[in-house]
Amino acid sequence: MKKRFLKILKYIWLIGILCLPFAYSTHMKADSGWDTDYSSSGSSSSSSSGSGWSSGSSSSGSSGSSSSSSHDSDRDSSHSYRGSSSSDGDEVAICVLFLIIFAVAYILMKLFIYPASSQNKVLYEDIDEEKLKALLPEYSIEQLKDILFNKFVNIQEAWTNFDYPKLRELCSDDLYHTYQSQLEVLKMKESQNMMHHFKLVSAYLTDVSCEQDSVDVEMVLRTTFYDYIVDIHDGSVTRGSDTEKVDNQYRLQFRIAKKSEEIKCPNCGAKITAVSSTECEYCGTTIVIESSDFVLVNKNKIRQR
Amino acid sequence: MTIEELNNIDQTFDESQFISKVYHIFVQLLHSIMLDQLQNVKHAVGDEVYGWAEDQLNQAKEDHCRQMYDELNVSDTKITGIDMNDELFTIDVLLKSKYMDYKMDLNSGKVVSGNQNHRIQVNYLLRWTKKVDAHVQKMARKCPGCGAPININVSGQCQYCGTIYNLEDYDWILTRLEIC
Repeated sequence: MKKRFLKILKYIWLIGILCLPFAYSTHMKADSGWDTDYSSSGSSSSSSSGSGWSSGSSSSGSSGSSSSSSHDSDRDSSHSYRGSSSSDGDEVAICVLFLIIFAVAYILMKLFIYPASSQNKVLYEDIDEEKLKALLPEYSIEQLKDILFNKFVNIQEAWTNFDYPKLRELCSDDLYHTYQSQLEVLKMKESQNMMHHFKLVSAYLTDVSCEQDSVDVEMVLRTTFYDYIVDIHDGSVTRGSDTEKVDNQYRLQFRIAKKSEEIKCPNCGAKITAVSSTECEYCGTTIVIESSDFVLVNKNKIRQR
Repeated sequence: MTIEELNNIDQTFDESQFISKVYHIFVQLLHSIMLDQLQNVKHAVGDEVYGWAEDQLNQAKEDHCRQMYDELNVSDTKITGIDMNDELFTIDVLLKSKYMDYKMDLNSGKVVSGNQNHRIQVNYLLRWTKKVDAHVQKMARKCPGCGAPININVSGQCQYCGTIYNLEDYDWILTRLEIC
């Protein structure tokens, strides 16, 4: 009896685990760099590629919905068993039913009540404060998270408003020019990508490293915000939703120059304020240098809900 | 060859900066096709890739259309191989992108083919090369033709004399592109 019960339990957990990827599949539903997918019907081909979990996601869940496939195993081995008594079979069925209800309830809880916090705790954590202080002694982890989240929001707002000077100030040279060309396409389509009401859900400083002339900081950020595209003529929403927030998780890479000393133009010797790429105001020479303030270098979407 | 081995030979190589460059040049390549501004990426790609981009642009123009790679996003970039010969370093990259692939009529702006509502995933195999004896880029970039200041991230073409900045003498350029 016990052996049979354990065997049935094992089958239920196995089916539950097999069903888990389907339970966690996200419905794909725009942002700077076009990380948000606005497709309303969420075709399976787009939702399954590129925006899914990293490989660690399956470890965060343990139970799944199960289907009743255990009756066959009862019948197969129970020819002699039924001959003795039917009450044991009823007890097994009740236990199985209870387990199914428990498994379904557990999945619903994971999906709707405690979905993100448990997954974030499993996957990401802050670096040690000492590691940060060794490279950026003037910042604490919490302080830097605030600063970088605000920069992220400012970048999205600059994107919405086609504010090229602001984007220039907040992004690396490469990223700025990429955003610039993307915004030109938006203008060509006579559209505007609206992003607003940003709310921080979670942020983790996951890495800090030293490059030749700069320090790179990596942050995993989860935020909710409204993200949709409107026609610039009549303001009608053409993609996405202005009533439902998206919930995106990003891996962001920021960079800051190691030293904020004065830099001189290599052509004429004039002093230059350090911005990623600038022109000497005296001779017009284009200078490529690291910024004395944090600039966004890369933004990759990890997950969209 | 491994990344560490490449780093030992080319000490200016940084993997994350390289991946970042791959992303930016790829996005700018497809945008230059959309915006009919191929001169903006000519310095960063080889002849084969430039020819491919011209073909995409010209095919669309023949139909009085604009080729769109709308809401372009790069979801993953992975180095798949590194090699070296006497003249060149070579890095192969698998890049996964998503975009809405459609053609838009130049006059009316209407979609004439493709899907404007759903992004599709398209994987690219990209080959990047850099000369083994590449020069180190200085802080101030100047046109090789006339010496005027040049911002190669905006366009590789000098606004004064029209000379293309020869990025292949300094850095990685995209020399092959294949859709897989």
